Amino acid sequence: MENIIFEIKKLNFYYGSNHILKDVECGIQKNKVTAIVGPSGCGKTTFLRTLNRMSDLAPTANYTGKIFLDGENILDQDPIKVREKVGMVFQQPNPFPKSIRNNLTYGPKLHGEKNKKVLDEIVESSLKQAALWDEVKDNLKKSGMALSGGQQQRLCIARALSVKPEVLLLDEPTSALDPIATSKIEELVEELSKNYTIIIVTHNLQQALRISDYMMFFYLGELVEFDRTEKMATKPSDKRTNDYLRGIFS
Amino acid sequence: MRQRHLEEDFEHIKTYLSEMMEDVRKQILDSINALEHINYEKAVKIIKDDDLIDDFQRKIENETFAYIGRYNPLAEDLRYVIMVIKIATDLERIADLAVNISKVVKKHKGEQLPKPLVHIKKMSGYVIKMLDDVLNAYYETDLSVTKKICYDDEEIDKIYKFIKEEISVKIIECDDISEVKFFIDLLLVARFLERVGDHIVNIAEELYYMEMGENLHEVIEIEKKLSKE
Ligand SMILES: Nc1ncnc2c1ncn2[C@@H]1O[C@H](COP(=O)(O)OP(=O)(O)OP(=O)(O)O)[C@@H](O)[C@H]1O
Ligand SMILES: [Mg+2]
Repeated sequence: MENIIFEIKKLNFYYGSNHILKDVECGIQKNKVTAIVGPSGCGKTTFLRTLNRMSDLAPTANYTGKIFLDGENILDQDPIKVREKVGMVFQQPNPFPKSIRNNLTYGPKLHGEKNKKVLDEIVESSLKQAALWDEVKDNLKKSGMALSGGQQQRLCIARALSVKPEVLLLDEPTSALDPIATSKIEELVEELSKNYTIIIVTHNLQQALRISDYMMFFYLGELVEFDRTEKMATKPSDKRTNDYLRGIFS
Repeated sequence: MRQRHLEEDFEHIKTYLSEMMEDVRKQILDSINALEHINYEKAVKIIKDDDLIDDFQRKIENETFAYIGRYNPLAEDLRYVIMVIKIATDLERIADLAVNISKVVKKHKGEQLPKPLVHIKKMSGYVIKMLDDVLNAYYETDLSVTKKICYDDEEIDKIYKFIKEEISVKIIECDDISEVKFFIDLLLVARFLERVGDHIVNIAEELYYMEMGENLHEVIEIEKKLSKE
């Protein structure tokens, strides 16, 4: 397998007695965009959040299996360490109620970075990578909450990038945005995939097809099919994938 | 849930395509019949009716484009609509070849065939059988005949080769110039039928891809290789 960053082995996940993820096995390609699709409640968010150890925050959460990131099992590691490598952006933009600059220096400071010049560089490069720099560079003291929804979401992406992760997890990042803000995020995802591995949950099939290299289809907690996006769009192997893509159930 | 109007639009396209298939089959059958009896009136009608086939193709194209624009079809549906467009194009070409045959008939109005049609009839027999098989494959989604169609086409190619040889000899032996001209036109008819066979093979491949998402030509090549080993 050429360039696998995440190797997932027999992952089973439970909330109490609810078996949410069933024997999930797969390898996720480095510096590619992988889209996760499937009907509501099939376990997409749960799966995404196990990749940065957020699912096991829930008190009833329980799991077996292994998730190797760069060869190490993240399920044995300190979750804080895992999240340095694996950043996450949520459906609702959630900037800290602080200045734009503070949103971006928070993480690096938490990891011990004190040098103002380095922090300035991080602010600029994160905002540039998130395609937000030109819009806010003269106004870095402005509150992050004062930005538009689309800008807030790009700020959250910049914040995730500020700690230099390898992987970016996005859970329906555009479902609260208008079409123009959505297409900006889509362009951004494409650009970022040159340097980051991106895993995105989306309910918008057309979006998944536009931006992803690989697609995963989950159904009732099972990873039914995982293949190149062109293949999934034209010739999925499993009947359930075929039916889902044709809108026979959703 | 899958919307009802999506299903209805889909059925619409399906119906157009099957009607077009039946009409094209009739055009080919009639053109051979017209040739056999140098039936001028029939030939003229075939040429006129070609407009209807063109209309069909345009309607199918328009409906399919609208369908793609409106529903962004995926998976099986995506293969289906793209193949429908391709099949309609092949059908339109087949109908054009029926017109070409009819033009030969028109040109020789009032004349007699220089010899009875033996091998051309054999060729057209294959062509009609292949068209029937295509129709069956489409209606019954029975893909087993698609391979048979490809093998039948190889027979057509053999007969065409034979006709070429036969007519070259006839032309050398013949000293009546109008007869020579007729032989050349019969050779053209054989060539047209050979092309019809190619288009039917395309349609068989398109039907196969529609259902299976695989290239029939490659599947057959692999089978041939395996049977040699
Ligand atoms: N914290 C939790 N405690 C208990 N059960 C949970 C918890 N979070 C999710 N679940 C359950 O796990 C299952 C999978 O949920 P998950 O959020 O992963 O689905 P999803 O595929 O992301 O759905 P959606 O498309 O609606 O976001 C659901 O049945 C849900 O009710
Ligand atoms: Mg979810």
